[in-house]
Amino acid sequence: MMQLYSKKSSDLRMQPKKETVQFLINFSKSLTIVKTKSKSFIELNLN
Amino acid sequence: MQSKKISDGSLVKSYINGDEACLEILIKRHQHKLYSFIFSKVQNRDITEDIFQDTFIKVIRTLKRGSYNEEGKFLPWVMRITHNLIIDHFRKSNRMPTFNNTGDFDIFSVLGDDSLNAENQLIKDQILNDVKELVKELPEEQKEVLVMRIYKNMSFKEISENTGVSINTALGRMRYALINLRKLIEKHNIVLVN
Repeated sequence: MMQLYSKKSSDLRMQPKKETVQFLINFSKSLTIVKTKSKSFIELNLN
Repeated sequence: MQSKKISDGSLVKSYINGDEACLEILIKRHQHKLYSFIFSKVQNRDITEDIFQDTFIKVIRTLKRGSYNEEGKFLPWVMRITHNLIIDHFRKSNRMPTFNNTGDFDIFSVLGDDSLNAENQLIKDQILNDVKELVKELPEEQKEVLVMRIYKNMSFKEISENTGVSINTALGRMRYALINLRKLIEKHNIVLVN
């Protein structure tokens, strides 16, 4: 029985850490991109 | 939100319009596929984590800039970003397999892969499209020989008979076609490795 579950648990680890996903969510929320008149972009990280 | 019923395209649109919750759905929907793909190439958890994170940072920036224009093709687009970041990683660490730029090198030899999974197939399709675009830039006589040899699998004798030139001339055109393709690849900074 142990072996039946070992593959499954290994498979489940094939995903990013929760911290990584949370970082991306926070990064996205804090990021505002402003388009200037000269058509360039300014990135603002508003934490 | 019922993420299963909403398409990637709709989630992307909503995210671009300010619904931040859609990003989490997109990440969680594709995280396993992307993470597994990266890990299968780099075989290191920390590097996989970094590349996964960098991939979505690029995705977020592109979407927020309004530069995303591949409606309905979200995952292939993200896979391509991931693929490029993996290539960058190997370049930086000098662990990328290299090919000698000798006369014996056949650019098409790097395209072979008998055990393609879905992700690799997407990348291979893109590479084949890139090569086709490059072939279009070749001089007409070289393009003609290359297409007959590579895409129509004709022998040089058949090419000679069809084009009305000697076998040696056909061989020479093929050689210059490959040399010019290499130059075009360098000029456009294209990576043709799966």
